[in-house]
Amino acid sequence: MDTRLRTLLHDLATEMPVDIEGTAPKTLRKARGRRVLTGGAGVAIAVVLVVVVSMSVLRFADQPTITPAVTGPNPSAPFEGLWPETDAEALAETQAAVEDGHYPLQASPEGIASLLAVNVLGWEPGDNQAERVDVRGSEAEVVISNQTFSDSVPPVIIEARQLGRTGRRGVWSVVDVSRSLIRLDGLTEVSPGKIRVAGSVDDLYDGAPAVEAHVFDGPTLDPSLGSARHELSDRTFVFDVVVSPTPDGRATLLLTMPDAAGASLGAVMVAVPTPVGETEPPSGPNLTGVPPDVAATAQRIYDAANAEDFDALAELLDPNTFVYNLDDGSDPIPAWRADPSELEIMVAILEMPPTSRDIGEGYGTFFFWPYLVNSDFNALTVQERADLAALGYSDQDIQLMIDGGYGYQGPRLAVDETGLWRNFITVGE
Amino acid sequence: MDALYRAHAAEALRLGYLLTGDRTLAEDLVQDAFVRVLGRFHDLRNRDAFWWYLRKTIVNLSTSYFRRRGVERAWLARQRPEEAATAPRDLAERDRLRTALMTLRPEQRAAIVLRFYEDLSEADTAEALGMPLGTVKSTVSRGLERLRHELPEEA
Repeated sequence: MDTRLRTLLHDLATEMPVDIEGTAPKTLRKARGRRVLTGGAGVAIAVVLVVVVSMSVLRFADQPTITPAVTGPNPSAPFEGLWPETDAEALAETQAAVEDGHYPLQASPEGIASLLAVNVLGWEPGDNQAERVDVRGSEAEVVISNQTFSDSVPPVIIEARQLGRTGRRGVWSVVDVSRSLIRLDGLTEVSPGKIRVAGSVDDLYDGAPAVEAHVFDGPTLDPSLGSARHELSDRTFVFDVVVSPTPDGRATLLLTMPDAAGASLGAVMVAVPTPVGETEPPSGPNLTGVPPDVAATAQRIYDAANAEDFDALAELLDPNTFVYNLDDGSDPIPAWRADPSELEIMVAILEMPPTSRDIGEGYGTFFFWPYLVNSDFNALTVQERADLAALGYSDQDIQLMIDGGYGYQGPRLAVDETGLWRNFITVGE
Repeated sequence: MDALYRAHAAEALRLGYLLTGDRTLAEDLVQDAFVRVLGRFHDLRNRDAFWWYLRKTIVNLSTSYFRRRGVERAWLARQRPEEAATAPRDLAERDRLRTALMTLRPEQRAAIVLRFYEDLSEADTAEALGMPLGTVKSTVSRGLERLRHELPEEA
């Protein structure tokens, strides 16, 4: 069938009339016009990127900005809230916004649980279902489950509390997420800036093979103060998380057990100590879950790209095997010297979590940055959309990727399982 | 730019035709692909890279077109009665292949054409389609199964 099909396809292709002289002028005229437009589009994307990064401090992208109004509890007092506000000033700002008619979901225990499910647990809007809402004055327990999970996955139990104003318009904060699949047995500060996490899971699931730890201090996981991933070989886990400083020496630790779409089957959320100091922006490649050889190469690529050290980059790739922008066996160094902006993209994607894919045909496993390469664009999580936005993609761009059916088409970098840098691709449709 | 167009237009048009089954649509699609690639590939350094990217763009545009417009169903609806009315009882294999190709899903058709017309390896097909390798294997397998049904060996 294969040979016959090849012959038939070539035979069929000859039916297509080819009038190059007739079509060339029109096509080339359009292409020349497009080249001019594309230069402008590049600037536009850069502007979008700056705007997106600037907007990343906003609490919820679809809600209006608010004017800070520090009118709540004493900021120096211990603050119980873990999410979305982690200090009294932030709570006061939110309370003022709620009283102005914004953030209605934060004015109900069920609403804050829904926000947590979507913004932190990575559940799709509408997938969460409140099984029980038990309110006792200014305290509440909300039990939520994800309708798309199997019945064997236990629900998530969220403790919420009104930490400032109470009553109908008081803001609810999450103070505890626990007792759902993941059990945290020990949390030890091994050394300043390093936390050891120990615990167990009630059950193992094929589609969620790891426990992830995320340390953050605010309404979103980004900016990250530290993260780690532990592949589960049995039901117990012990691993360390390196944590960046915070001004008040305190942050929130989230333990999750994400499935392939990034939706966490279970969650634990607790406060953790951090070194005291100004939070530094994350730097360095995200090496979560990659083997040592791959991690070493990724670190060297990152350092060289960050320093725009073209000689160091040249030492890391073999022009005979390297793929640059779908061009097999190519030396990208001259292009990078001419346009170093591609190295900024390289740094940005290396700071995102990686993923892996079995390439087969003698290539083994490739480790790709960013993880979006393996994302299901028909079920994008909030975090995935945020990361796409951080790379400069608008909602319209994302929709085009969804419509195209090919998933992530943005910049990507791969290192194979032996630590060989295989490609860096910035083009895609 | 002119040289690139002349070097690749014929191959691009034939690929577009196999992917769309429609000459006019193939011309429009290939023109759009050239415009996109020539416009974006400022630092193009060799023609092989250009063809690789152009092919990827043609495939993407064709599948996007069918997905968005839903013209596949309309095309089939338009073609089948006509075939029934005018085609001889024993259709030429080429005609039957064209019709059979159009019964495949756009991704299946693209995978089959890239594997058996462009002679790409499974890994290269996966790269061109932006699909995991396993998905390409299963997509090609299902596409071949469908074609075998539509084009029996004894026919």
